[in-house]
Amino acid sequence: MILAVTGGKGGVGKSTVAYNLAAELDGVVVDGDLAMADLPAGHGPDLHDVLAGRATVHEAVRPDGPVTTVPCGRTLAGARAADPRALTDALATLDRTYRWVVVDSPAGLRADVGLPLTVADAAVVVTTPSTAAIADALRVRELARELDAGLCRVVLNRTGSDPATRPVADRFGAPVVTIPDSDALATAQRHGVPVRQTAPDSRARGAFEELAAAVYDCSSV
Amino acid sequence: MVTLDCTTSHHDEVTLVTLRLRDLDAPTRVTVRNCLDGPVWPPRREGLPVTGWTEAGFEGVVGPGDHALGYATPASPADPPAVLDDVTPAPDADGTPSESATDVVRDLGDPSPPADAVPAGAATTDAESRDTDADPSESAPATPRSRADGRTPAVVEPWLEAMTARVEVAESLADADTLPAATAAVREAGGLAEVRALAASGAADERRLREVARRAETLANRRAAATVPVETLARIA
Repeated sequence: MILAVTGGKGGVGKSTVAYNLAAELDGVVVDGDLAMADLPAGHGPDLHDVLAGRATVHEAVRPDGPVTTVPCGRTLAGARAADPRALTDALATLDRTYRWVVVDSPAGLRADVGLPLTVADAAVVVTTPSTAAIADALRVRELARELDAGLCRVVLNRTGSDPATRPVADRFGAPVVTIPDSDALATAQRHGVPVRQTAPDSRARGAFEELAAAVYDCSSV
Repeated sequence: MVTLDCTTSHHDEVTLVTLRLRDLDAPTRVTVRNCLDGPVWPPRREGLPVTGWTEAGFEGVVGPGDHALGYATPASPADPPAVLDDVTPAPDADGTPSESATDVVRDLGDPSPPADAVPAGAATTDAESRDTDADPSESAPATPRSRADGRTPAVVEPWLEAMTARVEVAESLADADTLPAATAAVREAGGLAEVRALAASGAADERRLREVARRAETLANRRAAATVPVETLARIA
């Protein structure tokens, strides 16, 4: 199952959610941010090479990290040489091997956001409680709807202790999972490990377990 | 009865062809073929031809009513510029094809960074860009580069060329095993005095070349190991 983690606005925590969700699901996370990759990379061919026809997507899979990852290159030249249209085939290929393919989508509303949504079975929209983030997330929700990627959950990230989820759920028309502001999560992400490894009993970990369970439910519908 | 009206206008060596499909009363698959003696330049969005346009013309399902189509071509105008090749009722098609990857790029825009954003010379660095975070022991000897790929800096090139010339002269002197060949090689080298000087500097040349190679190798390894954390620095800046 291909799951697009998307959100519209930059800096709302899409990569963190994608990475930790893939960890909970024991799936593969694909760094779909072709121009500004931010998942841990390492050595070997990456998604730019795959999209430029220099490597197969399986060659770009890094199975040895804490989470199986398909990293993306970090150069503008690499991003320019890549054909974004090849992304749909690459994701479909991974989908035949892995039970869960989680795509970390970039910010914005261009084709690199739309392409994963065309092949995705479901979308998880990430937003913070700020008005600007919610407005962008609603735009992405519309795009996901046009491209037939069902909205599985809205992730309300960096909430306070008692967030008002009801109005958000009403506006998006989907259930909300909240992830509290968490030092444990921020530290884990900075070190390139999922929070389940560094702080398995934290509230943030609990939120990702809840999100993973919700994604399981979406997949069985 | 479907009719096709064509008009053309010619500006600056380019013919613009305007087509009007009239009186369609149901969804219909139409094939419009260019008759002008030149390639079809179809309308494009985000650099990709609009759905339905091919090298020969337009083929696609259009809904009821009137429709306008248009393309450009470098050919001279003629009459007719295009003809309606085929008209087939397509009652089941709703005229909105499913979204392919190309459609998505066309609709939402190519996300690739613009050419101006890519630093000059970076276009050839597909392999090099990866070397910055690659294993140094792997990147040095395992990837023999052609000269065009890893260009030597302009300041180093003249010295390397001079050294290459001396090595070549020394090689031809060493290879000369007949009297005529030896005579020719000595004349080529600039006389016996030059040959003596060349022989005397052999060890020094070799030492200097090896020293440069060693320093370049060490620097290459250090450069490969030092990944510049642009994202982190940008975040704290």
